[in-house]
Formats: sequence, structure tokens, C-alpha cells
Amino acid sequence: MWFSMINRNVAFVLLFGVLAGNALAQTGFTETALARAVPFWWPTTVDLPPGAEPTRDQVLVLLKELFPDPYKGDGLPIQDVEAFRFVPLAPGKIHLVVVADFTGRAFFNVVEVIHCERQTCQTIGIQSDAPNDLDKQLVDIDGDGVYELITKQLVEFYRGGDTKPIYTYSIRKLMGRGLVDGSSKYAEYFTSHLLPKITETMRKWEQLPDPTLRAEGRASAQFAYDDYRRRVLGEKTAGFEHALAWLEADNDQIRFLALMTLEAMSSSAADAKLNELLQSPDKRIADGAEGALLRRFERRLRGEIE
Amino acid sequence: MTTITISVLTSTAPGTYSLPVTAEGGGLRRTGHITLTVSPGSNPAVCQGTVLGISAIAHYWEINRIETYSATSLDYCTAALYDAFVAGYLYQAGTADPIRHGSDRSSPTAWGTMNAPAQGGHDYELESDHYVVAYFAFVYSVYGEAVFRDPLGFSLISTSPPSGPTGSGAYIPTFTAVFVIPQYLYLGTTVVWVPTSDQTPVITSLNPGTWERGATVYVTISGTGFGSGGQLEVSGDALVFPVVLGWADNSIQANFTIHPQAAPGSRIVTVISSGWTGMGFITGPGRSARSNPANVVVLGSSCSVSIADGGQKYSLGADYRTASVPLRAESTCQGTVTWTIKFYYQTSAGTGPSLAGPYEVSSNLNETLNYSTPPGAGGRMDVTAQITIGGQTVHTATRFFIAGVQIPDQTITERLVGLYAGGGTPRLMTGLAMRESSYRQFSSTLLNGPPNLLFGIPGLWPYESYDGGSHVGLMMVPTQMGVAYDWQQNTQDGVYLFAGQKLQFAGNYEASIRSRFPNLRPLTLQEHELNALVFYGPPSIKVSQSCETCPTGKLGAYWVPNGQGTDWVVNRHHPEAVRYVGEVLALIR
Repeated sequence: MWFSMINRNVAFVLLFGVLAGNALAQTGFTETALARAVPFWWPTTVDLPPGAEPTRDQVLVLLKELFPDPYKGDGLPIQDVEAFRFVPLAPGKIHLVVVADFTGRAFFNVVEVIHCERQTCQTIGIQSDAPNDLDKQLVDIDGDGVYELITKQLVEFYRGGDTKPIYTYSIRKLMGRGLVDGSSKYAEYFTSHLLPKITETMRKWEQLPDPTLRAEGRASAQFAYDDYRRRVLGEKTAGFEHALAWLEADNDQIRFLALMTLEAMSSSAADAKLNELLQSPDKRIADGAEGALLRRFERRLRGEIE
Repeated sequence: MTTITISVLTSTAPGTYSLPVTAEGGGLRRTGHITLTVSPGSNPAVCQGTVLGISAIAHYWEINRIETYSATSLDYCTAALYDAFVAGYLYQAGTADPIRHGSDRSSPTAWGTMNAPAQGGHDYELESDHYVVAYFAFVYSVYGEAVFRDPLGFSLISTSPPSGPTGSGAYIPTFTAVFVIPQYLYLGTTVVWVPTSDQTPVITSLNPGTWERGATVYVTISGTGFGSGGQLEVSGDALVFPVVLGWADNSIQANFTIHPQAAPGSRIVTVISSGWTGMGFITGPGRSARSNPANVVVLGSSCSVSIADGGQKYSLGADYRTASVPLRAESTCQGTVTWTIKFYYQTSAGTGPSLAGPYEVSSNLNETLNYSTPPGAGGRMDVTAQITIGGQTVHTATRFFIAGVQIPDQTITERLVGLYAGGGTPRLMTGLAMRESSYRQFSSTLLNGPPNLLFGIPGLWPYESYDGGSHVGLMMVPTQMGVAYDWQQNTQDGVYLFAGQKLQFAGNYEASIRSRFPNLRPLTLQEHELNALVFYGPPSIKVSQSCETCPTGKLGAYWVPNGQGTDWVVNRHHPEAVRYVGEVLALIR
């Protein structure tokens, strides 16, 4: 039903790709055979003896072998390491978790999960916008000895120094070759530990004197809260009414949040609205709706939304 | 002059007696005890046979010396028949061997004195061994018998005759042949001791006795009893600081720094001794660790010195890179000032802490030095002034703050266009700077509206990124003082990063895709720049993210192949990248 609603040229997407399941936001899984041994002793326990932890430079040496310059043509070489920690992200395995920068501008917005055996390393990278604190973002929530990774993502697209520091959060579990969003599984932890950050953000931005900033901040914080309702509480259409209201706003930023909301929710009503927006006189909105429909199509193929 | 009085018991009763000894001198009086031993006579009906053993010891504090007296004294009848002998041993407490010893044999009194330097805080002990010396005459009478000469019959004399004549021969008229052999008959030991507590320090002179404000004066204090260490105390106020350079028992050398703001007038200097042993001052009768006062005078000279209290905020000047900060030290005296300047900067959230300096410049007192801050230096400016007047130095410090300035948009535009003059879109960097910073190197407000407070002061401070300042300035480069305060360095770093690394990444990206889609045309330079813009921003991290439905299998940058692989189309799978590029283009000036 939803596909038939797309009336612009998006059908080509069916021609490409193997539609295997994969986590949406990760920057990718790789397996690399090192030319030489790992440049430090790989721990077998979380409680490292004094002096056993590798230095930041040693970790950077490893990452430079995994992500060399140039890297696979269209990829990015590693630029720097901000922080790292060894934790078990799967039973019986100690993983190296690194906050890394691939941008060359010290954004440090990627968390790389690395596990090496002999000279073969598996890496999974995922976006987590700065600032990151591995001491707080690596938690054994259910006490099973295997840690979960909390990632954060700016609600707004990057706007330089003016980007609003309003985030959505995800609790991720290492599953096979992906860091799967398990936020709903850990709803209680999310509600007690991460939701307060969102509600505090809502309160803070509501107090701004500048009406434009206040309106944008309020909408972004509301988006983060609606995201919590959708992904954690399972309220599939949460935020739909906000999206409809935001579409009427006299503010590009807020209207884009409406498109992001419609793209994210699992609802045929969202498809209907996005198809309607394809006819918007505002070309940016029409283009945005078209892209959102395309990406929803892909997600639906992966079974991520209904 | 010191006198010592020894009281001696004149009783003849045998036994041991303790007698008082008094030493006087220098206005002080010291008492001790001697021990007296009286040995019994053997024939009291004829002669008492009295022997006195005497030990006396005194500590002469004013010359810091120990003196002793040891004696063995015989009464008249004993002296007719025997000699007296005494051996004295002077010990410093805690030592096994005597530091002095001596002996004497005479009649009726054998005596001797000893002296030694006294070390404060130690006890001294005198032991005197007392003997009588008897003469055994071996007389070979006509019958060849030996005759003992021990008429008083001291009980300790052996009655066994020697086996044969020994010793020196001497002729005694009533005998035919005589050998006289002296025998030392030990009667006992008398012991006496004296403690030597630390002396009260006495200042006899202090030179010089007049000091100038603002100077550091080398002072010699002479006297006695200073011990091996201690402290100097200056009365009045806390603006005179002594620093001890040397400390001996009779002389102290110290530098006294007199603050320029010290009040003129008298001060009292006192030596407080911590004694000799390092265990603190050992107090004895009449002793004090604190010396007599020595008067000095702080002159109300005109060498008062002052510099600005600081706290002022200065802004960058017409070049938008350097600030002029007036440095001036005031004094009614002539002298020089060496200024040492350091800069410290961090963002409002404490990110990117960085230092610049130290820089050193010099000026004369009462001259204003307009110090030009180095390009890229700003934030908190810590200034130390070393002021030298007449060879004496004094240090003082102050602090200023360096804030930014509004840079005209046109100036920024000219700079960015100039830096990227060879680019496909020469004005592209203006759009990039607009998107990254809204053309702000400095800002008086933070993102969400409140005043930009740095070091607790509102001002036009370096413009910080949303996350507490991980990035700064026009091109939002990683925060450091240099790029926060030098807008030219900031723009150069940003443009060079784009023109160098990011265009190269875009080239790699395009080449990689064209190798798989040979029908794709080369991108124009202007199109190529749009891919590079994606690599400049955070959306770059998703370029190689896997995408099963994308033509390349990855999310891609701004341009991706169309479904047929015959031309480039705008990427619909990476809306953040496309939007970032669109905003940069829309904001070009």
C-alpha cells in the first residue's frame, strides 16, 4: 500500500542491494587481517592489573592499521583517539571500545567496538555524538556480565557552532555483526537514567528568552521525548500530532523535525502524510518527504517498521 | 669575672658527703654538688689519718667552658708519712672515653684542674680517683728482716712483703741497706656532674640598623648563644620578611626584604634559638630561647612602589589579533621593571585549556609600556613585575583579561575569498564559515542566549561550539588559544583543511565510485567541492556506512550514481549531508 503512494522516481532502489538485516545507524562492520600483531597485550579480564592497559598511542597504532590512510577509497582514515575502555560486550570476550575521530576536525563522534584474536580484528563503528563518556555509556544494565553501550545522537542535523545540544539516546547490544538498538528491552533503565536528561533539556530550553531559539529548542526536545515514547515505550505513532503542528511552523528547522518524525514512526498515517507532502510548494519539504519515503521503504524491507 | 666557691666538709668522721658548689659570674649564679670521701685512719689514738677526696665541676656559660677541680688532701700527720695522689677524668655525657684527664702526686695535697669547651645541651661528668701513696722500705737489718713503713696502717695495704728488693735504692742512715718502693693505695672515687642547658641568645650588634622600604637588606647579627638554628622575629607588621642565609652560634646572616608599603618607624628584631642539638631549645634555670631585642629603623624613604590592581579587560585592536595593554609601575624612586607575561585560555565549560608565554619585556619605573599581545594570545593575562631599585628587587603581580572584537563581515569575506582564491567556487568558504559560525570569531552570548561569561566576566569572547566549546571561531576548528584569538589562523586552518584533506577525500571517493561505474563522467570542480563539503562536517562519518539499497552499497557523500550508473545524482540516502551542503551554498556571501 505504502509503495504505491510514492509517485516520484524512487523505484530504482529495488535494483540494488542484498536486503540483509543490519542496524541502521552503525557506520559499519569490518574484519581485518593485521599485517603484524596487535601492538599491546589484549586483556582477558575487565580488571586490568596496574600498567597492563595500553596507552592511547598504542590504541591509535592499532586503529591506524584497521583504518589506514587512504582507506578503501571512499572511507575515512582514523584521525585520533579520545578515550577507550575494555569491557565484555559479548559473553567470554573482552572488547576494546574507542571514542574515535574520523573527521579530522576532532568531532569524536564515532564509537568503535573492536575485538582481535591473533591477527584478525573485527570492528563495528557506530555514531555517538560528542561529548562521549565511556565510563557512563558502558553499563552492565542487567547484571549478566555483558555490557551495554549507550549512544547519543543530536536531534538536529549539524549546524556548526549553532547546533543545539539536544540528544536522543539508544541502549545498544552487540548482536552478531551489529550493535542492535535494545532500548525497549531496557525501558526501566532508560526511563530512570536517560529520560531525565531529556526532560531536563525540555525544561531548560523552555526558559530561553529568544522566541525563535525557544521554539526550535522546544520542538527538538519534544522530538527526543517522542522518540523515547516510540522506541522505548513502543508507542508507534507517538509524536504524530506534533509533526502535524510543526509542519505549519514558520521555521525550516521545525518543519524538518516534522519530516523526521514522520519518517521515524511506524504508521501508515505517516506514509500518507509524507506522500501528501510530495506536492508541497516548498521544494525542500517535497524533496525531504521524498527522501523520507525512500528510507522508510528500505527500513520496511529490513523489517524495522511496519 | 667568675668565681667559684667550694665548700668542703671539715669533719673527720669517715664516710661520703655531698657538698654544695656555687659558681657565679656574669650576673648569673649556678649551683652544683661535689662528692667528698673521707677515709678512716688506722691509728686514731695517735693520729686521725684523715684523707679528703674532692671533685668539683663548673660550667662557665659566658665563655662556654667546663672547668674542673680534683684533689686528694692529707692531714698533717698523714702527710708526714704518705703522699697524696689524685687522677681526674672529664667525660661528656654519652661518651665512653674521657675528653680530658690528668693526675697529680704531692703532699699534703695532690690536685689538678681541667677545662674544655662546653657544648650546650650536654651533661659533663668529673670522676676523681683518690689514692694515698705509701712507702715500703725493705730494710735489711743485721738480722736480714724486712720492715714495713705503714705507720697509720691503712687497711687496704697489703701486709705481704715483696719477694725481693725492687724499685729505686736510697740510703737511710739508720739502716744498712734500703730500697724504697711507693705503693698507690686506692681509697675511692668522687664523682660530680653539671648539665649545660642551651644559652639564652644575646644580640650584641645588628648591622645595618636602618633599612629602606622596598629594599632587600643584607644584615649581620652578632652575639652569643644563637645555637645551631632558629628564627628571626620582626615586630611591627608582616611587611618585613627575613630570609636566613647563615646561622652560627655567634653570628647570623640574613636578607630582610622590606615591602614598599611597610610603614616607616622602629622595628624590633629578636633571635629565637632552637638550641644546639636540633631537639629544640633546652631550657635551664634562667635561660630563654628568646634573645634581647635589637632595634632597627625602617626609613620612610620615597621608594614606594605600586602597579595597577588589575582585573581590567582589554579588547583586541584594529588588526583584530593583538591588544595593547598599558603596563606601568609607579614609584618615587628610579628603577627598572621586568614584566613577565603569561596567557591562559579555556572555554566557558573548561575545554581546550591552553597556555602562551611566558613573554618578557622591560621598562623603567614611572614609564608606561604599551604592551602588544602576541597574535593568538588572549584570555587571562597574568603579569608579574620584578622591580629593581638600587640593586634591590621586589616582586608584585597583577592580572588582566583579553577579550575579542567584532570583525567586520567584509574583512572576513575578503580573507576567506583570498585564502580560497584558486578554488572552483572562490566564495565557497564564506558559506562554510556562515554555516559553521554565522561569521563569528567572537560572541558576547552563548548559543542558548545567556551572556558569554569567561573567567566570570561577560565579554566578547571566542565563539564556542554548542557542546561547551570543543570547537571555536569562524571555521569551528578544534579549540586552542591560538585559533580562538587569531582569526587569521582560524580561517587558514579551516580553509587549508578543506583545500587539502577534504578535497582529497572527495577525490578518493569519486575515483572509487567511478572505478566501479565506468560510465560516470568526472565531476566538475564545483561539483567535486560539494562532496568535499560533506567530508568537512560530521556527516562525513556516514559516507561509508553500509546501505543495501544504495547503488554503491554505501550511504555516500553529496553525489552518488544514478540507478543506471550513468550520471551523478544528489544523494537521497544521506539527508544530513545534503542539507549541510545546501545550507553552505545558500549562505555564500
